[in-house]
Amino acid sequence: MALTSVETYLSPENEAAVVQLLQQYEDSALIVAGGTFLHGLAARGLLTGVEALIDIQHSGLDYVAANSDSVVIGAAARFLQLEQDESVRQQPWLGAVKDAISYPPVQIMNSATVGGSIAASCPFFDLPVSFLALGGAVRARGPQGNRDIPMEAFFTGLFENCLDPDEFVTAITLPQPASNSASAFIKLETNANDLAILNAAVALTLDGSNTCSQARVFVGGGTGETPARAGSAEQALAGAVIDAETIDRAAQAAKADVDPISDHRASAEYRAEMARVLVARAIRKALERAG
Amino acid sequence: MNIEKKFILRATQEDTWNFITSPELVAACITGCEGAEQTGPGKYKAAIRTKVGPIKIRFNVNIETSEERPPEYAEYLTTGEEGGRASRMKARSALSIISLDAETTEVTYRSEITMMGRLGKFGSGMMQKVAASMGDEFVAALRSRIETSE
Repeated sequence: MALTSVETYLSPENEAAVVQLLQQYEDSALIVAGGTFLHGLAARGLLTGVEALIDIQHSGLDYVAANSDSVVIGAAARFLQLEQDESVRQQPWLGAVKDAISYPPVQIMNSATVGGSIAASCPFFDLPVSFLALGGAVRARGPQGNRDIPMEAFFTGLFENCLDPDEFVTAITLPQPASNSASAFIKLETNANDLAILNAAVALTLDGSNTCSQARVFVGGGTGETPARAGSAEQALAGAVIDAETIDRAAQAAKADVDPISDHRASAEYRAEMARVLVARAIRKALERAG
Repeated sequence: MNIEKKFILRATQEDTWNFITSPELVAACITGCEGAEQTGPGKYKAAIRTKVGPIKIRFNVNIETSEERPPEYAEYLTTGEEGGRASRMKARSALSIISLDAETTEVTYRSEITMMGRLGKFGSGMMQKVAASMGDEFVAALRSRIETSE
């Protein structure tokens, strides 16, 4: 990592010590965990004025805990840990998380952390979109203690989030939905090491007669500075019997909900059309999981 | 990368022109803009400090008026570079100020921006979104100053 300005590498043993260091170094320190995002920026010469790195890999945050009403994922838990977690493997409502971590290559699985994928606030990442669909919250620790931020309010722009300079991400909380809930995530990429051209996650709760009582639909990877909520797609699903016609209607609505970017990988028109395709597929995949 | 923005101000064409062509007034509407000054007839310089997440950016920019027809039209050539770093930018911009009635004015600006070096590594699609939100912030600041100064 070509971070030539770094003078100090710190490895605090608990959350309070991390906050103290953030206060001490102000904006000349960066938090590092797996280092995959920082390395990407540093290799492009984009990180300057960084004097200290605060490594949170030994701060007691590398856990995945399934409680009766939620799953809590520590910020330093690696993608591999998440993949090996029994709830993620088996619970249909966590399907979107299982899908999102089925894409990265093994090097990323072994090093990237869940907290890093959120704190980076990169609109092309996958896990944030699946967490958004699941109604996740970000737990941040600062001088005043912990606060839980709904993930939709967390991301504020390209690489930007609502954390104060002396706060950091300690965990992600995913609330367990009503029974008969399922979710799915799909990513469009050019190769296994690529950021998403577009990605989509859908979370559904169904009643006994296949009627959708709750739906959350998010599209990311090229929809702008933050992932986009497909509100009219959710409206098309909520209260409806999920059949082929409803899926088509919701997918069309998702296409209209997004205002994607054009770049060297795909045009805005193509991305919008792919939003339709991916949302339809993700709904079907979630339905299969719901059984 | 091309940027185009059109907005309407509750101000006269003359007041709008006077505001937009005063470096110190415009600088006050740009977050992180420091030391804006006129260096010659139609020539200005400034430093702009901003952040995109953990990426710290400081550009020294020079602006040269290439055409001016007060109080309705101007063209500018802007060049900028980061001190000691590899990024450079060049922009050709056109500003048009049209009087809609005695109290309202329509402003249109178009910029053709080329970014080279480390910041050129961002896809232009995403930079366009970032530039659009910075443009929105600028217009909001401009509006609050020009519309309340009357």
